[in-house]
Amino acid sequence: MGMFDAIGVAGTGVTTYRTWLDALSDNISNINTVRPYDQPAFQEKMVVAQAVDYTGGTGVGSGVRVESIAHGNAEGRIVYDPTNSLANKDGYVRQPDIDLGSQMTQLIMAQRGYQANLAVVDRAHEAYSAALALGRNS
Amino acid sequence: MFDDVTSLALHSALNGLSTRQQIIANNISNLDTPGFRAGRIDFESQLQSALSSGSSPAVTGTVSQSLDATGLNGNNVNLDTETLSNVETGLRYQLAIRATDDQFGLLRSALRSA
Amino acid sequence: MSIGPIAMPIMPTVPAASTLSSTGTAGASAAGSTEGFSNALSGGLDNLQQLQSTADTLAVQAATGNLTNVHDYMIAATKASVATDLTVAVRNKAVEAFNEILRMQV
Repeated sequence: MGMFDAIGVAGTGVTTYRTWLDALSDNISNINTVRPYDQPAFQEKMVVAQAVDYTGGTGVGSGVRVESIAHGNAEGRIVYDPTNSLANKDGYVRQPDIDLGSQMTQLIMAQRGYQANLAVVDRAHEAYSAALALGRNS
Repeated sequence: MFDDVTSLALHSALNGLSTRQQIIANNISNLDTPGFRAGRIDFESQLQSALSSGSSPAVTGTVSQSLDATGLNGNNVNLDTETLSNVETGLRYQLAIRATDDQFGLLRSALRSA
Repeated sequence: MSIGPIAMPIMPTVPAASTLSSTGTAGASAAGSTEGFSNALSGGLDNLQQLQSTADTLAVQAATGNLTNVHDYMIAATKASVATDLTVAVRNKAVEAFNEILRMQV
């Protein structure tokens, strides 16, 4: 980072929120993905975020990063659906254990965070541009 | 020539405001990070006391963590507060730049008419 | 006939550089601001070398991306520019005065 620090820091936020948005849209698009009984269900992807701080919590801080992607419940919901081509001999399939309502709420939060970080980049850019114009007109 | 109280105070303000922008960016990037406490910087009170006591206005601010109430996940960043602060900081920074520029402008016009 | 030294037309007295802090510390400047415009100008002359080198250092930092604050470089560059303007103005006045004296009929 260095010079235009605020932009770099907001950039880490943009990247992390984008990762979150991608994970959520993956979850939502796979919410009806059926798997055979003897395989794990489609697992919810959850982004684990961590603050980046090289000064041990006393300094300014350097943004956020994705520490890891956690995976949800592999058992899923066992559903009786004998007409499904993937059903086993008892007629059971596995569906993902993902709550659409929760995913939509998170989607709104992720979008809000993404836009907020973009706005920070904008405002930092304005301020730095003003600094760069110092001395031009004196 | 450039060491008067006004110029030094303005430079301190610019440094403090620039750090504040960075802190706000850090806060907003950690909007949903569990356990994160919002950062704050206070340089205004140091600057104020330096100016009223006549000592050097070249101050650095104090960086601290906000003691606001946290949400369920331990995060206490308030997006509205940060957004307003971001806008205000940007404007104050531009104003301080403008004031610094004007200081130089005064010197230059004095030189030109000499 | 002997020719005496030329008095600078825009600065009736030029105080010694040692009476002014040339490192820009505010302790001296808080007192310095009461010493008048002529002192400020002569301080600017003495500082030119240092201001230009500070601006150069910060410019190199800006080039390598190591500059912490953008406004630091902009302020240093403007200071160096104003100080250069001052030096040039003083030099021009001195040359003018010298030519003026040369033209005098004795």
